[in-house]
Amino acid sequence: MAYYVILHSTGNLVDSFDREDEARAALEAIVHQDAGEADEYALLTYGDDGHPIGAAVLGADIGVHA
Amino acid sequence: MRTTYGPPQVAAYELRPGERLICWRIVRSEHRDDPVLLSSLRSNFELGLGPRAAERTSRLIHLGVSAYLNEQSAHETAEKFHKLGDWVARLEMEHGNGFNYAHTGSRWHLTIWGDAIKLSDSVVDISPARA
Repeated sequence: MAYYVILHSTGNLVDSFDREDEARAALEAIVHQDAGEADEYALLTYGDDGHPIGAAVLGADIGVHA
Repeated sequence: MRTTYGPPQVAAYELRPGERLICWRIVRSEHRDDPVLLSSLRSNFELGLGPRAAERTSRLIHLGVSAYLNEQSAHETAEKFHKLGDWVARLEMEHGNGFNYAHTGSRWHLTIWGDAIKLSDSVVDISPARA
């Protein structure tokens, strides 16, 4: 099982999910709301062992179409 | 908001007398007298950031500071998202300082609550972030 965690660049958790699609949708919503701050957010995936896996999805990488 | 265990909720704990919570926090300075270090120990609420996502439904999350029970997880997280900071601080939090904590997010992730100055006083070591 994987855990999807949205972090702000402050280092603080903003939200977490056990489904990737929900996590991506949440990140997209944040970026849509705060387009100028998109690069301050990232979605990280963690394995059951608590270690991050794969590359982080940066808010700036999320395409938002108004 | 999904907590690590159980239904959507945040179970906050306090430290018992004699108990010490050791955890690691990604920070942006290695210098104890640097205001940047103190800022690195503040919640998004304290930093004046408006609530986003789960912070909207959980005031506790907005008021909390992320930390890790596993040192390596902290270092690896810093490596994945470089804006978090270049340093990892080891905190030894003790009873009697108004600290609370909860298991949130992924395994080893904690949300902690406490005065930033007291959290800073709990820092016993700061090392360069490395994966």
